[in-house]
Amino acid sequence: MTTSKKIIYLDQAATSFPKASPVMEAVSNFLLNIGANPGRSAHSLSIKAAHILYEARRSIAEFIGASDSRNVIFMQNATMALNLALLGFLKVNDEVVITSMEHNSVMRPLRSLEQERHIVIKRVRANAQGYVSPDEVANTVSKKTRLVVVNHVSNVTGTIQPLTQIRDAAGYIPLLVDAAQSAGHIPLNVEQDGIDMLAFSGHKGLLGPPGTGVLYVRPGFEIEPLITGGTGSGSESIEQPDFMPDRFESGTQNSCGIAGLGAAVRWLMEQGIDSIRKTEHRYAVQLYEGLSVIKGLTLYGPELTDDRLPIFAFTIKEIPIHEIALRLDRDFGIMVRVGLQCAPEAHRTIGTFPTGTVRLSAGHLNTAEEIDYAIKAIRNVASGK
Amino acid sequence: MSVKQCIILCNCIHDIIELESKLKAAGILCDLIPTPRHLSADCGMSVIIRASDQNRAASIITSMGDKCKIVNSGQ
Repeated sequence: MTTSKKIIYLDQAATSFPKASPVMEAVSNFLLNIGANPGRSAHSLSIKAAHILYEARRSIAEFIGASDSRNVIFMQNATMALNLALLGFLKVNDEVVITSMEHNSVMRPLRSLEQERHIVIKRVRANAQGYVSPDEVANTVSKKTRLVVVNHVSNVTGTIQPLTQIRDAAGYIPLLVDAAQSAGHIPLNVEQDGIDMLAFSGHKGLLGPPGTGVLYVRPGFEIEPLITGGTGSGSESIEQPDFMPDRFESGTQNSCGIAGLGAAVRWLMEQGIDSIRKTEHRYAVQLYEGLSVIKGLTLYGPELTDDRLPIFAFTIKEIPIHEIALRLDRDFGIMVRVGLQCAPEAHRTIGTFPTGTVRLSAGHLNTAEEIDYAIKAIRNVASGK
Repeated sequence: MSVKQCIILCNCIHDIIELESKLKAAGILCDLIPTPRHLSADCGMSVIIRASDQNRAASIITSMGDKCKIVNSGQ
């Protein structure tokens, strides 16, 4: 039975909530005042919609350090972006190197490619904290390796991988980075970091609406589209356009979502990613210090001194994880997630497969008071109160 | 008396909006219109400028590479 009217949302790794107010205003403005299909017609509303998509694409390019915004491809989510990257790039008998922290949005497309295109998957095993050794990456890649895939931040443990060192370890081999959990939390620069493909959600750390995501593809990096069809360009031809971004954006776009995503990214840039990073690191320290001393509670993932995001996986002795989540929700109004978080390989790595853990994930729009309240609530649950 | 105009076709809507943005930044009057059917079967839009601005716009159009081109002038 609910005894508290508080709502403390600590499931930010699933999707962020609340969104910044400019996001809601942008979505609302699109639906109320624009509504038209960009790039299809040339009437005033279609032109306004086209401007909104253009500005959003430019803002995202600036945010990730891409000099040409044409290489920012709008997707529905990170999963779709990763599918395009993997299925659009890997060919029969290719070898791919991945880490043991990958999400199923990487593992399942690769599994289907293993069956259908006979690709070879080589895994670099992370340690119990979820860290991947760049040396292990260097030892695993071979002359046959066509792609290295790295989960930048674990959605299970908040572990931040040493991207620059992994890039160096991969050498000349193309790099696909799954930034679903890092975009909006950690500075990203695709050109400085030598990233060939970057996939991320719009609705998580970027604070955009659901149904938004991005795949960035380095200029000149060739992949095949998964979806073909109308783009509003080259309509006299039945051949798919060969230019960006139309090559990968057939069909009507999620314009109202993209309007919100553009507003979100501009708002994040105003806040400053370094400032966001500092706030979230403070919450990570607060959570670590609060949770690690609770009797019967086991924390998984990085230690206090490690660089990490405020994503925490934990279990409590003799209390099933679903009961912990239920009590946190019903008795304290605290929203968390339980289970494997669609990342069975990561849970195998940290030793929590198949049961999984409770996952608590905070963001910079949470408050220190909310986190303190959550720590006290978890302490109460652990002590049987 | 009508003003002579030039029409610029681009690969895609992204390039059209980028060109419009650059032309406006350079102080060149422009508008977006439905692509004339005799110039292209595209179902989208094109950029229109005054013919008298064609020379000023030339370097901007060139900076877009092969993405945009003037296909008609003098109308």
